[in-house]
Amino acid sequence: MKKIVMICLGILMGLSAFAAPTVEEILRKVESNGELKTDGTAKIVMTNQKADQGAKVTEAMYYRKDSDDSFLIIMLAPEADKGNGYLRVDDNMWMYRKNTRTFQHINRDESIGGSNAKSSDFEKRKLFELYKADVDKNGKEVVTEEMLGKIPCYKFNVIAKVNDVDYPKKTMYVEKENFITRRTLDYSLSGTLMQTSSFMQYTQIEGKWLAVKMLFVDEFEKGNKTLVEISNISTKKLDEKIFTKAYLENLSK
Amino acid sequence: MGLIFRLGLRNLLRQKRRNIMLGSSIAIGVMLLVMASSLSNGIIDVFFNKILSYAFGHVLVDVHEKGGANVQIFRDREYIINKIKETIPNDEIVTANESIGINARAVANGNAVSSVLVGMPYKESIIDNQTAEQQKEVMESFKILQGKWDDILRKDLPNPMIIPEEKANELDVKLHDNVNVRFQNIYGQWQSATLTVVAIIKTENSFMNAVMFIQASRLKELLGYKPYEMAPIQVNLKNVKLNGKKYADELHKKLHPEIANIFGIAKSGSKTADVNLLGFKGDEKSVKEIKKIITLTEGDAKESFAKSGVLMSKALAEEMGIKTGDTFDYTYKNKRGGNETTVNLKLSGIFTGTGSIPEKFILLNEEKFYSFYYENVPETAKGSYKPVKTDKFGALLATEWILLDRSKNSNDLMQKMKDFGKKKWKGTTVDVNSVYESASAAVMFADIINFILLIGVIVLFIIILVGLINTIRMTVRERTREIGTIRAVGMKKSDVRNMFLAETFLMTLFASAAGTVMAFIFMFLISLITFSNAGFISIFLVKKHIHFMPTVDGILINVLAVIIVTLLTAFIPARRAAKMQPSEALRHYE
Repeated sequence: MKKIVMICLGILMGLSAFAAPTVEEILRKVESNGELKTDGTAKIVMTNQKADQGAKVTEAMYYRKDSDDSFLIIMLAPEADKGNGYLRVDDNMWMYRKNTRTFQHINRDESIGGSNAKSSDFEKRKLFELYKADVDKNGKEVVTEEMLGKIPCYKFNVIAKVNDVDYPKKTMYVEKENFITRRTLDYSLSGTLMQTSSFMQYTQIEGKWLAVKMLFVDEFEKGNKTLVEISNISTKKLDEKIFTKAYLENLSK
Repeated sequence: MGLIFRLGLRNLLRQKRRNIMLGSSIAIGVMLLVMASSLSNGIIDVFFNKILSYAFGHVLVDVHEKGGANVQIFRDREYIINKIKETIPNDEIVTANESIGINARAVANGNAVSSVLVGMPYKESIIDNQTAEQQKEVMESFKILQGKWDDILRKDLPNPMIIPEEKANELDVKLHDNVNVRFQNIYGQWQSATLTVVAIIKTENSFMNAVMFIQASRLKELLGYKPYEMAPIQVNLKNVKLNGKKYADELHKKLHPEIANIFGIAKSGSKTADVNLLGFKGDEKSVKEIKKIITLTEGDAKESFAKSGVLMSKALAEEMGIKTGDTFDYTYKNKRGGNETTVNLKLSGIFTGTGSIPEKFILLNEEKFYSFYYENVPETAKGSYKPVKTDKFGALLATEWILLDRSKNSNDLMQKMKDFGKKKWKGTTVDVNSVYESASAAVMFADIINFILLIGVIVLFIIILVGLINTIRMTVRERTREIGTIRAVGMKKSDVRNMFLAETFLMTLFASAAGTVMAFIFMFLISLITFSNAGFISIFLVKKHIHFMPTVDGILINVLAVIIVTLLTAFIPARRAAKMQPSEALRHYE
């Protein structure tokens, strides 16, 4: 009898090892896999395509200090924006305008440069702190396994735990092997699909995964999409003086 | 005196051609003066009662939660409305409504446009004392081309919408077509909705062509407001010039907040305690002051007073058997719905207090405190501890909201908005403004237009007065012998002077009357002209016509001013004529 019980327990334990992880476990792993605990420098190129207009290419250099999550962005293109920049230190974020040589403090919920990005988007907040599993009518989490092209992924739905997130509902596709996000479907509060985000290419840096090619497709206004490419990545320690207004002003000259 | 006036009148009729020409130039001057002041009154009227009242209201209660520029929410709507009703007599109010609008992107039939979605309080105003004529004027400023106003209230459609003709053409939509919109709600979450066109309108004002209207209560819901929550409120007054600032000041005084005080149950394991929970101001200066009043007996100081700091009095911690690093639950009753809220807190520090500090209570950094306070407003705190704002400790505690100081003008207000991010308010800010502060730049602009028009007319008058002086001098010269004669038969110097002044007075009076009549005729004719494509200027027009607003007192003041100025102008030559020696005057030949 004891033997039978032991065998059954063993089978159960074996089965549980193969059971899908919970949504929170997946989110924590995704977060952990992407959490780079070093300073960082990268070049970002965004190609924005609108339905009735041509493509607009924006280039910027991004500097990040790990110790306090400060960052500095300096615009490299287009010519009209070249030399403008953004600096965040602690709770303060400023926008620098080269033409007027002035700094303007940005509120947390103000849009940046007329885009959909806000100051609060750059705050370091963990996925599992922002989202939780969206359960079915039986109160159960549903995590399924699906192929995204040739990549096996976990697919699940999450809803926001807090009010101040852009998309209150998401469907996430997370690669099974590496726990990196491959796709998200972002929904509005009323459940309309607003955006599909595809994380097409990753690179590994110091054991962590960093998305270097992402495509954001506007599902509400068809024909709009943005391609984001990250290159020239460096994790060299950065000088403190980089994260100052004086440096930003000097850099933009 | 009667004789002087009769003589003046007789003299006026003697040199008819000259006096008619001079009188005509005065009449034209008066006509332009009356038209200019009527036009500037009209522009100011449009500004205050159409543009500014729609855009800012005459008195505005503006609210922002936790320093969020776009998070315009106050969690107790009834409280503010009651304070408005207590402060402003009902018969002084024209309308009071919530100001609800959001930038949106609208998509239909493969077309996409940017727009502003505005909540229209159609038949659901907080206060509506508009006369039938005022209501008609409002409705007529949005001329219905297709559909009807009342369809915005339809319950069978989720979101009935009224759209300007220009927008409808851009989206290629007709009556009963659907338009999808996306926008960010008050929390910054993306929201989308399908709106159904129930009416197409033609607006008087080109700025209104960017606006799409849905029922205010529906838009509030889409934006994430609950029924008891409030967007900024605009109050429009009957007499804004007289009462605008006064009522804003009085309302401001009535909106002073109390200390935010929660009374509930702390629970750790099997141990519970009924206790007050308060927030402390987390800025550097306040924390420094608090440290003088409470002494940390356990816990790290940096962590205890940090953003997520949770402090407990020593007596309470001992009673509950908890130490720093432990977690406990705190449960309290909500003001609405009869529900309870439970928050799980991690203890950062334990303290003892001095002075009037009670033995047992919990203290949170305001950022932590407000993180649940506003979304779950507590019922009125019971409990033994009622902190007082004016005492040393009370002054360091978080209040129900933060009432900002009254702004002096638009620049002051703009600076206040710029400082929002820098000040990092953690609570809800409440700001009371009258139109004079919200739009002092616009008010100044109207005053400048007024000033420029008047300067133009004054310059013209100066030219006319030069002609007047010259004419009177010529008249005196021509009548020198006559003056000599009447002085010789006994007329006093003052009578001679007064006779000339009377002549000038009568000419100016008749000319002013004629000028006023001409002004009314021209204003009537000009106001008949329709300006169809006026562009920016259309904001100053009423139903595409120039809006003149003559006032009785304005006209009387203008006429009086002209008379006084002409009399002053005529005084010197008249006095010179009066001073002439009769013998010399009689010897005079032209």
